Amino acid sequence: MNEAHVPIKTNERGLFDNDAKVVILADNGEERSLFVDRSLISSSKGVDFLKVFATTNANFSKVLLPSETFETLSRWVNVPKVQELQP
Amino acid sequence: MILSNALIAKGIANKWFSIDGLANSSDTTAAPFNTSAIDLRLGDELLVAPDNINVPTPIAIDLSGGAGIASVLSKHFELRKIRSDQPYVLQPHKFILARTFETVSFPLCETDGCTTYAARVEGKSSFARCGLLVHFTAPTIHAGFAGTITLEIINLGPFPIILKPMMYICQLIIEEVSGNPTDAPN
Repeated sequence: MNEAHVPIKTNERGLFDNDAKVVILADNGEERSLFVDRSLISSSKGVDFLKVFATTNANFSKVLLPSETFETLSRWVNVPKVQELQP
Repeated sequence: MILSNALIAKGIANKWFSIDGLANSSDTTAAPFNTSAIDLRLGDELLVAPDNINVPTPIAIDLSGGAGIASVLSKHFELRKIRSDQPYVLQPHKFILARTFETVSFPLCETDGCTTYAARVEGKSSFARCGLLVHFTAPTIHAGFAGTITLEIINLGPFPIILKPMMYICQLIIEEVSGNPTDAPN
């Protein structure tokens, strides 16, 4: 697996000062929400990105999130587009 | 395979994983290194649910729904900063969330042949005898995790317990992951 970045739909204050509540969009259009450490978030051209690990097969569309989502209780999620993986 | 203290130190030095903010004690008989674990300290932030959380409207979390859980937690937990001279007194049967002072990272391998690590956070036996639990049901720090470790703390003992920042609160047991995690098998 390789480090990659997925765009964040919403980025809000988390529970603690150094974490954030983020929402990302899965490839089926559903939202996935999770708490993450702020050090894993970067910004580029007005868009926030979350650092993840991406599988090296299946055209990088399946990524491993840093923590599990509240919706699926899984850390795996399929994201829409390969070109959006880099900030 | 659980890593010894020597292998934990070697792993940090060689960047197999990282534990940032680790106490640096010249006293080799003191924490943080145990024989097969490393002790971590309590950060200065606690999340406390107000005692009157069900007033005026009773709150219930729908664990099957998912989407609203993060919002409910964010809305109803109250962030408290603690200091050595202003500690938090955890009353019996009170539940709070806290974080370790140290930040850990267990990266996944990006090349063949390297080893991936994961960890488990556990309590301290001396505190356990006082009734203090620092996690329950979720001790695993999975491979690929990075950040501070959230602690689910509850006092099951008969006495109030004083929590101060930078006190040793838990221990981290680091294990080698056999085989490299890849795509989700299912």
